[in-house]
Formats: sequence, structure tokens, C-alpha cells
Amino acid sequence: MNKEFENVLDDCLERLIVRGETIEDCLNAYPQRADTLKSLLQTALLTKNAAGIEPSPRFRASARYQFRIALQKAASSKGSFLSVWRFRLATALTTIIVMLMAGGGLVVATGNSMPDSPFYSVKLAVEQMQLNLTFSELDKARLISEFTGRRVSEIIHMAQKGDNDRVIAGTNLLNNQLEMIVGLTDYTNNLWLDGSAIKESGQMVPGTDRPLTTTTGLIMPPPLVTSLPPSPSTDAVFQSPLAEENEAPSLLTILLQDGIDNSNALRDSLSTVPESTQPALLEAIAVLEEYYDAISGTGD
Amino acid sequence: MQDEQSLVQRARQHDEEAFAELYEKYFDKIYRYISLKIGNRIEAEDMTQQVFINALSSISSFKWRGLPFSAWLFRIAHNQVVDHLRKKTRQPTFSLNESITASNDNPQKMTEQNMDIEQLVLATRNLTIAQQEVIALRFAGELPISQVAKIMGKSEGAVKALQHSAVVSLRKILNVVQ
Repeated sequence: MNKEFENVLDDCLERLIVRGETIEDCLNAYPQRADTLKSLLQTALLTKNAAGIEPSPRFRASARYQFRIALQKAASSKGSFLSVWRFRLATALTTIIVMLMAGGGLVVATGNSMPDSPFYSVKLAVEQMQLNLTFSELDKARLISEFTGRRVSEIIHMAQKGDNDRVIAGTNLLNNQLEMIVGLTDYTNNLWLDGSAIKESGQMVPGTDRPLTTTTGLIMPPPLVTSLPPSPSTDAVFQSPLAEENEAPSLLTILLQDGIDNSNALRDSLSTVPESTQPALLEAIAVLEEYYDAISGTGD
Repeated sequence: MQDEQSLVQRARQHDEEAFAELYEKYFDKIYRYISLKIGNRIEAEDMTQQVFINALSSISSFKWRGLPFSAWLFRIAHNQVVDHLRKKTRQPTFSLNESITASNDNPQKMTEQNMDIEQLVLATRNLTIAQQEVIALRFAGELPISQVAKIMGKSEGAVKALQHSAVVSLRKILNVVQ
């Protein structure tokens, strides 16, 4: 009898947890057990909903990036020659292409090319090569942040031309680059990106309730306010002696300023694009602001 | 399952994309499982990352032998949680909701209202270790009963009985009313 009920309950839980059916569906399937089942299924539903927490975007991006690095390291150390060979060949080919183009002044031309231009893939290849030749994680983050500005210009350009597909493709590219920034900034152990790592130093960031220093001794940044440019007092915080000792705060300033500029550019362009591309543009804004919220520590 | 088997096969041969696909498939589930088991978001984040790093380093030793990849991965997570809890004895550090802290003395009636993860973590502390494991694997890991049984080394019947008693206990702890 008990075993039979356990099977019934398990079937209902399977429907509820895995198949997304409702409590009513289960009760209808077992009307003779409905009275006993109902409160158990309500408990199960509460449990399922409470257990269904989502990792924060900051953690997701950072973990994904670090896992990718671990994957690449594992592949190269375990003799996955294909992966290493591919990487080296790509770097060498891109370098040759860029050197050839540099002679003809094409690099400048590709630098301004848009996604509908035949030179656009070369522009992306050049960016990748720049990244491959940048070894400091902080410099990589700066560089990618610069690239996000280009992605935003491209998204706006394509939105103005009514090319929805390329706006979406540009947003995906932007999303990847923003994830890389979050991953890189976490990778360099800039724990000021994570409020959880804050050590109680007693000193607070002016105008906020956030402590000035973290476990790494770095200066806490002010929260990101997308509608306002950084105030002079904000700069003063970043130029303290501690800030001079560590590159991180100036990197954060750059990232946040880029975030504000990019967000403003996208928002300003909303009124200039056809109605058909406005939803895609709004999605780009949402993606951008979610990541900058994560970077500024306001998104978790 | 066949798809996953071929993905795992490729991952064992150091195919980065295959492993990345497995990572995406299980990342959220492992995170939820660990969060529910240890009740601390920051530590859960660190441990989730570590589970996948450990899986990466030992994937070549993985053999099917009737044990699905998910069961193998959750085994790694389970062992890590056990090690972690053994090392530290303090209570979960989620910010505790006072109304739930008091719920043992004056149970709050729950019907349609929501419960958050902190409340669930506290409620599961009143279950037996085996019941906690079933709830975490089934509800946070979203695993079918057959895989839960394999991970726990029990029969499906025994896991169903544990699941039943765990839900009954949770109903009493949370004072769920119809």
C-alpha cells in the first residue's frame, strides 16, 4: 500500500519537477489519492521553486571564462595537438594577413568597416590578433572594452539600416565580449568586483555605504550610475596612493566609463532607428546594462 | 542519453567543445545542488567551479559501466560537499529570515506563498542526511529517481521511500496547508 503510494507520489513529482505539469494534472491522474497528494505536491512545488535559484550573471560569466582557460590548459598539457595547432595556425595566418594589409593601408579601412562590409571579417580577425598578442589580463580587459564600443557602433549602424539579423548577431558578439571582460576582471583576482570579498576596514567610499578597501586592499569603486558621468570626487577616490599601487581601480574606471558611454549611445539611438529594429536594440541595451551592473556590483 | 554518451566520449578525448557542452548542461544544476547542501552562495560558487575543474582533470578515468555522466558529476559534487562540511562545522551563512528562524516554535502557514532558498535550507536541516540528499538531488539537481538511486547506492524503492518521508517531513516543518 505504502509502496504503491510512493510510486504515485514519485510519478507526480516527475511530472511536476521534470515535465513542468501542474498539481491539478497530477490530482486528475490520481483522483482517488487527491486528498493525500495535494498538500505533499504543494510542499514539493514550494521546494522546487525555492531550489531553482539562478547563478548570478557575474558568477556565470566568470566561471565560464575560467573553465575555458582550464580546458585550454588541459588540452595543451594532455597533448591535444589539434587545439594548440589550430590556435598557432590562426595566429600566424592573421599576423601574415595584417602585415600584408598594413602595407596597403587596409588596416585603417577595415577598422571602420561595418558588419555588412566585405572587410568586416578582417576587422574581427585583426581584433583577435591584437588579443592574442596581448599577454596581461588587465590589458586584455581594456582592449575588449574598447572593442565593445565598436560593437555598439556597429549595432546602431545596422539598426538604423533596419537589418535586424545583424543587430542580433552584433548583440551576441557584444555579449561574448562582455562575458570575457567579467571573466578577465575576476580572473585577475580583482575582488573589488565582488562585494562578498569586502573586508571591514572601517573606511567607506564617499557617498556610499560601501567599504573603501577589500581583502586585496584595493579601493572599492563607486556604484555605476548610467545616467550620470563620474564626478570629480569619484576620480579623487581612484587617485589615492593605493590606487597608484594597483592598476585595478583605473581599469574599473575605464570599464565603467565605457559602460556609460555605450549605454548612452544605444539609448540615444533608439529614436533614430526604424520601429522594426527597436526591440533588438532594446535587447542589446539590456545585455549591456546587465553586464555593467555585474561589473559594478549592483547586479547580484 | 546516446547524445550525452558521445559527448562524454569526445570529452574524454580532450575535445574542448564537447566538455564545454557538458559544462553548460550541468552548471546550473550543480550550482543549485551545492547551494542547497551548504547554504552559502559564495562558497557554492567556488565549489561549483571546483567540481568542473575536478571533473575535467579526471574525465579520462570516467567509464560508463551503467553509471551515467550526471551521476558521476554529482558524485564529485557530493564528495566535495562532504569534505567541505567535514572541514567546517558552522551553520549555513545565508542571511536568515527571522520569521522562518522562528518557524519551529510558531509555524508559519504556507500555501500559495513563495519560499526562498534560505528558508528551504533551514527547513532541510531538520531532515535526516539521506532525506536531505534525496531532496537536493531530486529538486535542485532535477535528477530522475533512477540516477538518484545510483548516486546514493540505494535501490529505487528505497529512494522513493526516502523521498516520500522527506516531503512529508517538509510539509510538517513548513506547515503547508491545503
